[in-house]
Amino acid sequence: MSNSVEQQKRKVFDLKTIEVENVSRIFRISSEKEILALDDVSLHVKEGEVFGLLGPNGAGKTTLIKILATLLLPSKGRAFVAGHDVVKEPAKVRRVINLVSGGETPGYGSITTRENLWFFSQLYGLPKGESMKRIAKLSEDLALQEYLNTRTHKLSTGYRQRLNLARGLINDPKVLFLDEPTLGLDVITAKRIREIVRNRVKNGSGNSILITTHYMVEADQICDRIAIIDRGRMIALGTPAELKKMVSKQTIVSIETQPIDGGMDFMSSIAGVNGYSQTDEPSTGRIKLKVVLNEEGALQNVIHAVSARGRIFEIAKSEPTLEDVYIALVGKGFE
Amino acid sequence: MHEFQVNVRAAIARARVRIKGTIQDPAWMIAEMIIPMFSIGGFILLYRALGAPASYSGFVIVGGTMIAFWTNVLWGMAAQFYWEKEVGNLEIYFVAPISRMAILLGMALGSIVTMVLRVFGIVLFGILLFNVSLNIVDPIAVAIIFTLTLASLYSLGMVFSSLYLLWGREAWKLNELLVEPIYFLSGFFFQIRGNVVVPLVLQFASSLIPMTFGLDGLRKVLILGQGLQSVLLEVSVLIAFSIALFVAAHYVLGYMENLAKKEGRLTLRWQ
Amino acid sequence: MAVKSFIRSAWYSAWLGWKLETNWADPLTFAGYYLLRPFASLLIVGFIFVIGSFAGGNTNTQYFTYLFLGQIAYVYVLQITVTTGYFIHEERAKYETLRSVYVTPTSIRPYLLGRALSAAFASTVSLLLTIVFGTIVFSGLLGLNLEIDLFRINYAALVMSLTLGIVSLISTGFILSGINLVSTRLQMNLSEYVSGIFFLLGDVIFPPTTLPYPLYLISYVLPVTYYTRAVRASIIDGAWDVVIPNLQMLLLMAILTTIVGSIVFAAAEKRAKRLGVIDRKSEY
Repeated sequence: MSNSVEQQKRKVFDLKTIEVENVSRIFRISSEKEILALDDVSLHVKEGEVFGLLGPNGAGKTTLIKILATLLLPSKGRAFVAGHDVVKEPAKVRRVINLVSGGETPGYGSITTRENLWFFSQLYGLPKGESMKRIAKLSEDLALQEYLNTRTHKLSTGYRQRLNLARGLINDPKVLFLDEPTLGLDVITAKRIREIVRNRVKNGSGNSILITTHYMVEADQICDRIAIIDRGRMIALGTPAELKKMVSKQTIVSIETQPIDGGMDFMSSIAGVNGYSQTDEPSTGRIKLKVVLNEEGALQNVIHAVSARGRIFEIAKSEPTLEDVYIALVGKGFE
Repeated sequence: MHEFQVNVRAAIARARVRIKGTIQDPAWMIAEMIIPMFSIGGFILLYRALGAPASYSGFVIVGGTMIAFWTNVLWGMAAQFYWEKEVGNLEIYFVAPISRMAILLGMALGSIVTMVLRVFGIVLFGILLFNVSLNIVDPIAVAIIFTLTLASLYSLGMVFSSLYLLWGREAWKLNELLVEPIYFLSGFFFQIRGNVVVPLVLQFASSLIPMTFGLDGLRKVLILGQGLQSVLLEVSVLIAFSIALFVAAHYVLGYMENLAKKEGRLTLRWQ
Repeated sequence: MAVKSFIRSAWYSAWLGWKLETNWADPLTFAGYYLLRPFASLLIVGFIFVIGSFAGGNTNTQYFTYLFLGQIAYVYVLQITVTTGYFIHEERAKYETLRSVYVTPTSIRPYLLGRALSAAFASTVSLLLTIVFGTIVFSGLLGLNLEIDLFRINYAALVMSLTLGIVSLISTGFILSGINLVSTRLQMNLSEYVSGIFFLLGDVIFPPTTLPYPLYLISYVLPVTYYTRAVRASIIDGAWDVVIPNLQMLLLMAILTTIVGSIVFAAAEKRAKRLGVIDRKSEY
């Protein structure tokens, strides 16, 4: 009986490829100033899961990825990747991971795409035949074949990022860390990257992906579960559906208005407003407000307050998105 | 796959990247050959103006040749970590399951093309333009001293590389700072150790640098026509330096990596 | 207005250059850094003299003074040429700011000028420290007779020589930067070539006439030759009738180099834009 419980426990443990236990990280900026980049974060990522870390710039997403990728030590807490302690067994962790940071183009500009990929495959000791096979497969998946013999300093940003992703997949990592992988990319390249991410974990491959992003739609589309991080703290965790359910009792409205003198700070003081975000619409010169209301009745207050300051062009109720969840939790959108 | 094998593959791959890059850049290769000739030529002419014996011109050629290796250690290996950090490659190396020493070794091996060309160019320059004559009676002694000098030098370079894990510009400045003072203290262009006109304090400071013994040994076996018997002291000191520095490099690299991870500076740019 | 804006940009750039050069260390370490390299170069040449003359029996102290002053004057040559030669590479590949500067309404010239001026200022610190420590080591500790009389130095002429030297070296820097702007290959090596040629042919450690014909003819078109001679004449002789011919030649060379520097840099900017290499970089 106890054996079976133990086996069950072990099975559950084995299914977790990443475990983060009460991890904090402090950066000392000067002798007087410290920044708490991660504050007591705990989470786990299961085998075969795409796990998203969602949050604005400076929320602590990259810090967590760097800790898990053995590039940074936590100030407090413990973390495990594939069952190995990232602090005590970094060499074992490195055998099963890879890291791709968006907006970065590592490699050597004076050699070709193929040579760069071959070089990176050698950091994992791949034999030549195996290495070439993987390069062929990855370049096909990422539509890089045409550029395999091009020196990489001649590649466009999008293709360099594809090369970067191919590099991250060259060792077929059990755990892949993707830090803002679609940052600054065109729609087509970003879509292809998302497809590759999804394909990697399907069909019971057992691979896991931890992805950081501040694109809500991206997180919604590709992540099985998401942790929302704000100023180093994890403020919510769940599947996209579970997270959206958190705001199901609240009313979400979109309001299109003209730019208002003195900004939108007055919104926070309106009774019944849980949070709001604003987006400039350069094509129309208008402002789009997303407002999360605790009760539908508060809409009258909002309309009254906004129309007193500027013209309202359009009001519409909308379905909850991850952005609304974030607004409801933090009180404002990503800035 | 065995860890050692992975490291060997990584070192060879890093070397190949550098060789390929070098071959594609003939201007750089030519520069590597020609630039040292200005100071070498200047110092040979200076010795001649002072009426110094012909062997002194040979000393300058030996020193100039070895400067090529010292420069490679400082800029082609240690400071290279700085560039790798700036372009994002260092992060990739540190996420991969390989030793940092393998990457450094790869960089060193990759400079072999430039080094061979540079040495060949300088020796030819000395022989053809300044009639410098080499006097080699014991080629084995030459090979031993040369290999040991390089071993200690490259191990020292690995120790320097560790500084770049923690610092950026400060380490770069230290590299710059080490150029001329080491030229002087190691006696690249004249013998310091055992020279009656050199103050004892300088001779002592000079003895702390492995290159000094390498240069002394090479001068004896390449220019003064001496054999292995006369360079036993240099050989012993170089063996000791090589082992000590190689072991130190292993520990220092590990220590500095850990410290950098603690302070969050391993992948910090724009330092 | 344009002149005012140029001066303001140059001033801020000089300030930035100074910050970049100095903010990595405390003032003492900084001074050490600026002393050690040129001082070690002086020690190398000085000890070649000590060791070579001991072995060769030629202990002409006039020659040592000549060497000493040549090497001191060379401090400017090395530091200004290297800084300006490295400027484009640093801005393009290291800080990746070249592109940003090019899209602003101001030209790159005041930035380059400012950085060169800050290098000139830093080299002045080096130069002064090297003179003091060089004198202590060679004259004080090693007992060599430096034939320099503080009361015979023509300080006005010395300041003029150094100023004109800075002008011609900065203009040379513009030529090097222009070449580097167009080519991504030479970069740092270019300033090494040029400072090497200046060292060998610029009357720094031996008179160029000791070189075989026609090699020494090159020295006549190098501003460094006249700069080194003017500095030496101001310190050793001091008399205006000796100094003036050197200063006249140096002034002429400074004007010529400034004109050539402006033309080369303007042409290079045009060509770099045509070739699309303003923001190109490559490492291996």
